[in-house]
Amino acid sequence: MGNFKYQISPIIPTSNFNTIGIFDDQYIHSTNSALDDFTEKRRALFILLSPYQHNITQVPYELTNMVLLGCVSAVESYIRKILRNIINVDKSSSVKCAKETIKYGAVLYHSDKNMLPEALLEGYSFANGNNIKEAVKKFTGINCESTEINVVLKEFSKICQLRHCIIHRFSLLGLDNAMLLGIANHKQYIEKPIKIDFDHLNEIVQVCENVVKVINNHLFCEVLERTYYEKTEIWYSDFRRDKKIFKRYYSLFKDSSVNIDEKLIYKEFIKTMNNKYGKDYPFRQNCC
Amino acid sequence: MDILENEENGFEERADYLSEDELIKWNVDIPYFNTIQKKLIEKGAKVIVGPRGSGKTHQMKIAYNNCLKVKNKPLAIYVSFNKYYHLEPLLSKNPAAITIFHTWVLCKIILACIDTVRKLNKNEPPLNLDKIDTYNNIVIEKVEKFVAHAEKDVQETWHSDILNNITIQYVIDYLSKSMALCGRKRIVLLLDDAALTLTKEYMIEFFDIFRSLKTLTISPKASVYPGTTEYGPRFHLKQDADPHMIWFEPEGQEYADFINELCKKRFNSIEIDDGIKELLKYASFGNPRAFIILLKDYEENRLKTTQVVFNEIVDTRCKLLKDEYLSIKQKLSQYSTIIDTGWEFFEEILKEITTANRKLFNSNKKQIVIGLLDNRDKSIERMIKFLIEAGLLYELGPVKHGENREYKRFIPHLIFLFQKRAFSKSRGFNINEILEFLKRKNYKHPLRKDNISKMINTEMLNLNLPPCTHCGASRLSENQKFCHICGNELISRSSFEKCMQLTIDKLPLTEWQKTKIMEETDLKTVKDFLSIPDIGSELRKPHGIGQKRAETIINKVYKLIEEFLA
Repeated sequence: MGNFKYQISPIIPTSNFNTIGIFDDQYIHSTNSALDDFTEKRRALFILLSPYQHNITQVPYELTNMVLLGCVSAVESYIRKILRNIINVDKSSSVKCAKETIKYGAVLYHSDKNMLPEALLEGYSFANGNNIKEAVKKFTGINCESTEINVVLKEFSKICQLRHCIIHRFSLLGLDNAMLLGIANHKQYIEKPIKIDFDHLNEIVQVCENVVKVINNHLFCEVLERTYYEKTEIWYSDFRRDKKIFKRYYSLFKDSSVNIDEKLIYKEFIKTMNNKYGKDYPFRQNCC
Repeated sequence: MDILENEENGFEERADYLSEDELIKWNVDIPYFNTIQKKLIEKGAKVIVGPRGSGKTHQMKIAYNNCLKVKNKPLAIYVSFNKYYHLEPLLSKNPAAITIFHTWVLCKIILACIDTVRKLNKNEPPLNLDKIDTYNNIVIEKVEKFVAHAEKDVQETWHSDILNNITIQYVIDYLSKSMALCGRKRIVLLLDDAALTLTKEYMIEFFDIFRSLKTLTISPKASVYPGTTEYGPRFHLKQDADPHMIWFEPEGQEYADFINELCKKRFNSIEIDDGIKELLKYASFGNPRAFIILLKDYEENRLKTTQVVFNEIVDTRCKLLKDEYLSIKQKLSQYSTIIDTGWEFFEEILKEITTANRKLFNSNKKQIVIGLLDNRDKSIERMIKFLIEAGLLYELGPVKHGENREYKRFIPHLIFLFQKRAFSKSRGFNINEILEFLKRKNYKHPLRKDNISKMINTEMLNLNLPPCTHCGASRLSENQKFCHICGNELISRSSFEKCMQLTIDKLPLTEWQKTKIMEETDLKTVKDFLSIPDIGSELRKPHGIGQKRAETIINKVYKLIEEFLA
């Protein structure tokens, strides 16, 4: 006797679905800083709410959920780009990564050599505060330890729990997520849907923005100081001579929404370095 | 009398500046305060609600001293949070602001606990923080330093040790250890100046901590202002803490008893005319601090005639109260229009009450209560709350009139009614006449007002939030951080306000330009550059500034605004 077979719902076949054609092969990577890219993505996501400007309380929760997913994804994308850029530009980081292995396919298929660091990050997910810290440490050797970073990453991890619920459970709060968020305060919400209103969404997006900005600030200072301290770049304390190198680093972290003369930042950097290590430090012979 | 002798004569009106001895010596022991003392010392979380100067700090300090001296009373820990505004700037620039504030509150409680334990001649229990040196005094020094750093916006890497280790549970454990060490059975946490009115975010966090610190043996007590205190979504007044009002009913017997006792204990060296004392009692509107200030002002001007002095001190006090109320605008700019409309509303109430009393001159009744039909309009409620917080309206319980109509009842500050001569029959100043009027019974019903929009333009009760600096779209909510139209980040209130308040002398202009603008135009701050419709013509007023120069100036100012808010 044959097995029981019954079609409860009729199925419309998707004859020939394939993923070719759903990618934009004409896309050219922007030369903007990773932070500017993030801001652009975040902006594009937030504009999705504009049709509801006259009735913001009516924004469907499905849409606010999607904006949350998009924002977390934009944060992940920022981390990938900033790490890639640092590895490409900063000598200490590239030396550190030289020991790491990547898939042979990466060398074979990545047409742009500057994209190779992406292969290092292939198995990583940054939808978690600790992963971000670990990856930064592993690929750049920089410690992400400060009150600000800890606070924003802790908040970001909470958002990642929400993201998990939205992706895997159509926004119902799962037991594991509730435990990670603090079971005492969340037990009554288990298997209940997430409902993000406009004010909540603003806060969530702000947390994502803060993660990016705090890490961007931290990495900028740490990477730059290390070039001075480890002498991977020679700094002459003269803007005319140092301009090129400074710009190369600064452009990785630049925030175009802030109107500031980069020469001022350079001066601040050189002043601090001179005070901390001495003016002749870049030219001093290392003694063993 | 020489005013420099104030201290000896008891004219210092703030409990914060009184010594322990003075506090106890001058403390007025009446049933009204005994109830408050009981609330402060008994078990359970309590919130003491009263306007500035109503005696909150005084009562907390008395309770503290009482507990310190009597062994079978609970261990009392007194902390004042009046320095919270030092942490306000963090809110607009440091993502960790709330966490720093949270730990700042906990650290202040620990330090106050250590202080109490030491006052009881005991050695405080060890703090035992991970990673931090084991010597207790070094750890205490670090906690002290953290508090100071948080207030000065200094950040150091070792702060993370404090931030990670000092948690609510840690504080509960530490307090319990201290309690056992001092041989007490319970703890009362006297958390003074907890209204934190300028920073909603901190206020909400504070009451979250307050709620979490409550245990079987720890009873937190906080003092707040009436009206505008926001307790946040996780804290429910009445359920999480029992509120208790500390504001004498302005014409009640308890306040009269208090004034008599206060004069006997604190001002027995001064001869005060009974009539004047009585008038000052009404004029101080149930507020002990106001009474002391008025009495001081009166004493300072004794040589003048009673009428002149009284009118002068009434005018000065009215101006002060008005300025104090309107100053909320500078601090919470988003409420500017609401505050202004609130003042108009208050003036209207005064007008109506004055007219009502003029009609009652020849009867044996007075009318000082206004009844507003409760239509649960949030924006009107918010406006009234600001007036209550400033102590301009005293709320009596609501009354019903008919089936579905409930009236909220308020007494407007009596000193303004004095100023309006609401109780003076004749042109001159007759203390007995005014007092006779004030001592009359109240008219049976309040002066009922069913429609507030007939008194003021209620359409004006909107928040003043700056629009998006990129596309000009108006904000949709107070908590909005990104523009819903163009997606750009919105400028935080604080920096926006600071920028608008920059004065001409701080602008990047030449000295000559500054002087000319300051002396010959109406422009005072950056705000004026944006609010005056035809700024070009205004700038061309001074001789020597033509079209070109005006343009340069405008461009410079716009550039400054851009940089400031970037």
